[in-house]
Amino acid sequence: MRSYNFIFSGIIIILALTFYFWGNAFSADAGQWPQFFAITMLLLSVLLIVDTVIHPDREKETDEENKEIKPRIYDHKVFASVALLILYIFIMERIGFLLTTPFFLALLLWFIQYRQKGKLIAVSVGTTIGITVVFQFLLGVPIPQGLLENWF
Amino acid sequence: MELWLNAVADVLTITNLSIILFGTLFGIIMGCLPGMSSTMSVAIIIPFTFTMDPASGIILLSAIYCASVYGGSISAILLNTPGTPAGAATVLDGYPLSQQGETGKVLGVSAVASGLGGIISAIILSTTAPFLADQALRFGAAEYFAVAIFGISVVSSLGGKNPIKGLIAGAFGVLIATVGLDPIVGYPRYTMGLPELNGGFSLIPVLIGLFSASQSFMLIKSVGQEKKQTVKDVSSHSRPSFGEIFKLLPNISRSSLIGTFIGIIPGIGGDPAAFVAYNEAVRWSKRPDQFGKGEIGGVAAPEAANNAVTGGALIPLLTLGIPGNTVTAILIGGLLIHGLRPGPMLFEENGDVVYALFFSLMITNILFMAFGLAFTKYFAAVLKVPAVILGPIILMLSIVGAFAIQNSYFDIWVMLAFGVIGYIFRQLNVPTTPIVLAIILGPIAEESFRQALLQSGGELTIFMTRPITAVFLLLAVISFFTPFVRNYIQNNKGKKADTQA
Repeated sequence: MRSYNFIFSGIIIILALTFYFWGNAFSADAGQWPQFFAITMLLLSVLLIVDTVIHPDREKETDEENKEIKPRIYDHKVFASVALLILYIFIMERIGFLLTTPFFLALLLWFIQYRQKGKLIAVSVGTTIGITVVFQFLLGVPIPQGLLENWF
Repeated sequence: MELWLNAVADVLTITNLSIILFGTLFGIIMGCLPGMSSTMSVAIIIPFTFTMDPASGIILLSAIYCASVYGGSISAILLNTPGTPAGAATVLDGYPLSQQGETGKVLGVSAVASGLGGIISAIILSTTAPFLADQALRFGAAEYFAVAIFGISVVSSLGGKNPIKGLIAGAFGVLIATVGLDPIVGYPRYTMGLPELNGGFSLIPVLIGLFSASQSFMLIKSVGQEKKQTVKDVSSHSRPSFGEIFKLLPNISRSSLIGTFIGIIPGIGGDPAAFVAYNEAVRWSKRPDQFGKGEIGGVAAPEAANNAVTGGALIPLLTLGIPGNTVTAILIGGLLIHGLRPGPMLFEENGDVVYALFFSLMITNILFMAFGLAFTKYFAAVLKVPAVILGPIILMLSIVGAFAIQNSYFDIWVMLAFGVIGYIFRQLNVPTTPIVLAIILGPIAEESFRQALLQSGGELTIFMTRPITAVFLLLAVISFFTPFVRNYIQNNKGKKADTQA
């Protein structure tokens, strides 16, 4: 967690400085509040760095065998899901939820190692139809229609 | 009295009873599933209440909230894994009892204790909240600033092992909330020229991202790493007798009062309430040595307390507009999409909705108590749904939910961005609840602070000379520094123990 805390603090400091200097462009009334909290966030990040140096084991987590559990942000399944999701949202915006979602769900399930083909298709198609029927027709909640706009 | 009669008539319609039934079932199922939280369950449903009338919408959300807290006990008892954090104390005696073949009895006691805890807290809520709201009507800008700061101050206790991270998350939330037009002079701040950001980030996509989408990423990450667990068959086990329940009544009543009281204090939540009630049950028991090995009182106490928190946490929310915990912070989103702003004026302007909520809470608690006694074996079957299926389905619901509020694709992108932020924050042990608290309370604090200064001609003494303001600011200081003082004392105790050893 030590190195992650340093990286996290570094990113937050950059973010805080961005908010602070960007706030200089606002009228005095509008800028003071966010600038105060930008400085606060910056100071807290510095404090986190100092605290991590003084107490490196504060957040140490161990498993049943007393081995340290290290945080793992990067996971290829999550990374693939987010990448697929970005592509999906771009395409869905043009084509619509009903036509895009079964393919997206099938691909996503495949990427995250779901290999039972029959169930994969059933879950992809079933979820899409289920969400459409329940939300569009029963609850009257709009879902993105894309090419099918005005069809139902 | 008229408001109560109207509430009864409002709630006892086919539509609202069906809504309570659906909310209760959905809440129990979501609560059952390890890794799903009450927060996520409520966040994901909010957009779908948009087309309902305000009373029905808030009734649905509160039914999900109460039932999901109860649902958490089912997996705690059957799997040794609490479905929600509030069910953690239930594991201590619930699972050993289940191993001893008492599964039916312990699930029954859990249902009754949860239901009674919820009902007792709903009664306290409905009797005290109108009185407190009446007092809060006298609040001006300075008082609202102090109350908002008091609400924000609890972020220091939400940081887990490292309070600094909770504070960073809170400051981050306040900054996120400043995106959009300035509330007093209308100056655009951090909008990057995007018209979609003039009104700031929409609250619901942010909430769905932080709590639902990030949860689905966590589930996707856990695929292939789940431990194989066998769910016990509960179909043939007996139920608790009336006599057994009767003996537990003093324990349940005491735990319900503890839960309600802790629920009122912002930032503490269901899990500490359950543990405090558990400790008290041990202290008052004639067989304290049996606790932890399979004592039925050790199930009744935390279950009554964690469900009693639901009513307690609604008291500061409805009377002052301050969320008592994360779920009630999310409920604010549910109120806001119907144009209802929580606080004392809610009782004045929308008393019908508030009293319908009070009455529906009692119905919900009775309903899940009945479900818990009759149908637990069916809910237990839900525990077999794998993370590989749940993750993508929750992701789809998050997308549809984020879009539904304003028919906006931009909101889907916002949801995704906050989903990724939520996932990264969770991995780094940075709590996400302070972000939500700050996003909700930050704008209230800023607007009332600046209004108060306008009224006082720029004199900061306005915050010290008004008694209610001063009291709330003092409470904020105490609440802010308590976790640091507690850490300091614990560290000193640890050092003393080390040197003595």
